[in-house]
Amino acid sequence: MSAADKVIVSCALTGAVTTKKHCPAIPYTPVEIAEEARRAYEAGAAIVHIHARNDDGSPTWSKETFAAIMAETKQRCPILINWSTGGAGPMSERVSHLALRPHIAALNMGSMNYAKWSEAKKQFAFNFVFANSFDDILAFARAMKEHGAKPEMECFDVGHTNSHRVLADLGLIEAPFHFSFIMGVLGGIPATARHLAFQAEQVPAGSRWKVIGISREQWPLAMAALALGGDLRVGLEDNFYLPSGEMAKSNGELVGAAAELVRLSGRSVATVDEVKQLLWPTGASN
Amino acid sequence: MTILVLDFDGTMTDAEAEGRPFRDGYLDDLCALVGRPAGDAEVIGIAEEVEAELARSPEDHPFLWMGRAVAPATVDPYLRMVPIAHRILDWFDAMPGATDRGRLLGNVLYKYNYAKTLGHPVFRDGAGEALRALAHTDAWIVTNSDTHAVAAKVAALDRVSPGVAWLTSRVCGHARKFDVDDTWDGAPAELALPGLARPVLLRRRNYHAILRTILDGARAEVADLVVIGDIFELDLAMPLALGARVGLVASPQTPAYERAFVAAHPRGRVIEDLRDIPAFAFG
Repeated sequence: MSAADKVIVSCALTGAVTTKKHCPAIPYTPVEIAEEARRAYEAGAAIVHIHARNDDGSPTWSKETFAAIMAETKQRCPILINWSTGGAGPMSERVSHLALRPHIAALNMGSMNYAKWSEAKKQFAFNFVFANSFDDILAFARAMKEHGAKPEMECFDVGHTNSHRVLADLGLIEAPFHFSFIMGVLGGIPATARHLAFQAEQVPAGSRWKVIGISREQWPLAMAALALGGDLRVGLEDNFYLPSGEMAKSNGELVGAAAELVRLSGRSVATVDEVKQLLWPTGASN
Repeated sequence: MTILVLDFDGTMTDAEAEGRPFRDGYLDDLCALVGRPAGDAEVIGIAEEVEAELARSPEDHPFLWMGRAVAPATVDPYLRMVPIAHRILDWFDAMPGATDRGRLLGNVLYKYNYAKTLGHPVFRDGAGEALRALAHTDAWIVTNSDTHAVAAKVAALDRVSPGVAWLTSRVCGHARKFDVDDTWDGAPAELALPGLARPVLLRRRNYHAILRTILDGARAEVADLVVIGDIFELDLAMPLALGARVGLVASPQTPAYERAFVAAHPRGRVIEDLRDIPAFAFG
């Protein structure tokens, strides 16, 4: 197997912000999330990125809820689990679920203005500072190392990507490093092929990187990532819409569309076992 | 005895109309990739500028296969998108690496957007009448496209213009008319066309093998063969050089040098109306 020919398809099942009013397929409960994980797995995803929610759809960092999600998911499929750690709430809450020993955990790699601008209204739809100090980043990374979770370094701009060197120097991340490039957030790097290629140039040889395109730009960015040798993340957290413009009825439909793109590119979708070899060549995964 | 061989895509179909979802989708994706909204005026302007250049001088814009010019790139909307995409990405300084860009344009964007055209064939005016009039003749379709895809298009035509379904079993796909094999000497190496600086390459072995199989099945010779297509260099040049009669189905994208050459040749005919094909072939 050539590592470059394989594409790791991840699926962000639910996020923390949007609701069933925005998209009826967004899962809330552990059972709903696990069912979506199964659909994503059956369509070709090897990793699911998970935020937890209360039954009313509001976000939660409840360790019990995360435990229920993990148990329900494991009953249904062997997909690799990636916990979110980002967003609102004190750090103590946002690391407690790492004790459940997920395979991967998301690690936001820097601070930024995080906003959405309405050209029509000439005002921000939202606008806040997404604060991730180096102290916080290191604390999260230490918690991940303690619990055996591989950090998925979420980079919204080039400086975030470059900051991985600190973690590597401290021995908090192990090769192959695992990067995600989130594109298209106002305050972060623009969602263009040129900028994606620039981000991809920053990572050390042998690393895995994927693109996370927000909204409908996800699909063209996915095509660019496939051409550049990267991996993909799709899912209702990032985008509701299939390439056809129809709203997806499940995460599985989005993963299916991503798998078709992979096939068109001449590369192939990595299975769960193949992803374990790609991300943990020494076999040291949770 | 007459054996009739028809090209299909672009000959029986309206390639421009059929390829519109491909072009529009491809350009929308390019817009996104250079950070512009779909339908961005600057991106569309570049595309139209390149299209105009291609139309002005098709002889300067060949389709290259294995590094050699094997057909004009201007007739087919799918081939035209390649230089357009390069110009747009160059303008926005995006994906400069040749390998990455080649994968993006050729593997992903091309196939992804081509899929949007499948299942929605658009036929040229008169296609149904022309093919229906060929019933009970020895007519075949020889195409570079997939056999089943073209048979499906014939079946779709039959649904709107009944009487052509008999041709679905007479489709020979994957003809690879663009393949030139210099080691094969069954045809002259090249043909000179006035108005075209480069030679037209004739040693298209795979295409010839398909034609030969059809002729052998009918115990016919090349002199019995009539070939109809929309690109002289790709469809017609080699059969003409071997002695067949040829009909060039013209469109606004047909290079003037191809049209003039066929019109002047004693075994050639420029076909403006598909309904003229039966009389040209069998009349």
